[in-house]
Amino acid sequence: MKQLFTFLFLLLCFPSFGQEDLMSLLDDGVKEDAPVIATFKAVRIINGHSIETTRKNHLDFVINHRFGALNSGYQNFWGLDQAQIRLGLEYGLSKNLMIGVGRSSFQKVVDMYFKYRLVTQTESGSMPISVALFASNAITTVQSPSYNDGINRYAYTYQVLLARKFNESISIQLTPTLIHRNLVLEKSDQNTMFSMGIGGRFKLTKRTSLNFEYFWVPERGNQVVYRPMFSLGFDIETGGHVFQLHFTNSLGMIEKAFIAETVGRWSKGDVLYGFNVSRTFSLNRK
Amino acid sequence: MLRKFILAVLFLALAWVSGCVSRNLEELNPLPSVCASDTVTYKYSIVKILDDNSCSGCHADGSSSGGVNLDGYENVKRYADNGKLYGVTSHTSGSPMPKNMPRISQNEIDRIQAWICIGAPNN
Repeated sequence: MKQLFTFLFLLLCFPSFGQEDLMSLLDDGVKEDAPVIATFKAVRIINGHSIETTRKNHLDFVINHRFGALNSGYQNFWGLDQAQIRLGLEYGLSKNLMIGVGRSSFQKVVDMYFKYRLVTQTESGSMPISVALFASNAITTVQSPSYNDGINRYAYTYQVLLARKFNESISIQLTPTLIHRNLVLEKSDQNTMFSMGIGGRFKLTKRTSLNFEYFWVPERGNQVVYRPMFSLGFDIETGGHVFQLHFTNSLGMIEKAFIAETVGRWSKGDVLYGFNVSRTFSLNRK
Repeated sequence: MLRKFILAVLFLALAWVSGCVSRNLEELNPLPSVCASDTVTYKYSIVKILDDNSCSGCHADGSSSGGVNLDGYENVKRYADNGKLYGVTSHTSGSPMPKNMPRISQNEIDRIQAWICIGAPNN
């Protein structure tokens, strides 16, 4: 698996010759360092963040929804009887910096985060990839003796998002991730763990695309067996909004939950249907 | 570029302001505090938790999913004594239950723990 990620990283770093040829044919006068736009169509690929940021002075109201597992049977209407929700607000402080806050019904967690786009891929290939940094702080609000010491409620996530748009149809992102959870269930678990994610977007038509996302996690020797998160999604762009439909094996919708605490298995039918929708409000003064 | 680097370092440092420790529930072990509880009964607490969370639906006489039968006190007591009832409901051991659903509430887990702690009586 590590070799695969190394290979993919090297692949991301190669300039895209095909793209340069096309650009020179179409427009000789293209600005030398014009940034590549729309590597992904939304700030999330599926569960995880993409290198995209919310536009400056725009506020996004985000609703993430996960139903139950498809294998929960007809009694539970194949998962549609159960639902978890995350409500969030995201705001673009500048062209490259966004902040966000959200609250998940799953584990009753409030999460806050920053995302900063460090560099942007250029059309000329002088910068072959886009790089963004992501940091979040998740605070569980469950009432329990385990959380008598408030510091136990915190979990942190750091990600470096490395993405490349290969051509109009294909974008790939690698996401090295570091997660620290102040409190874990078992002694054998890792409070601080490393994970590596890969996600991608394959454009189907002008308004639709297929997405995938996978996060590798290390074996942790726990009695509760945590598994890698894998999701498949279908994005529909509708007049400025992106409606994201997906299937995933994770109930959690924030990093510490879907990377570090996924227990579902695709092979056993632990597949949950979900969607992300958002409404954007422009706070620009006219 | 230097400005971006400084901003990035500040940005990463910001998220640590809340403090960082490495703890686990096994070692924290909140058992002593919940053992003091004398309000938990099999009849009014445990049976209700099992019913509310659909445990009784799948693990009943005639439909013992996974070979686990939680019908009646004797059966529940068996899984309470061997640690499986607490392990699977608290997601600390065994196969997490309820299957493919969120963990039951901490309050319910605490009540199961308290009942086991006082000897899982048929009260």
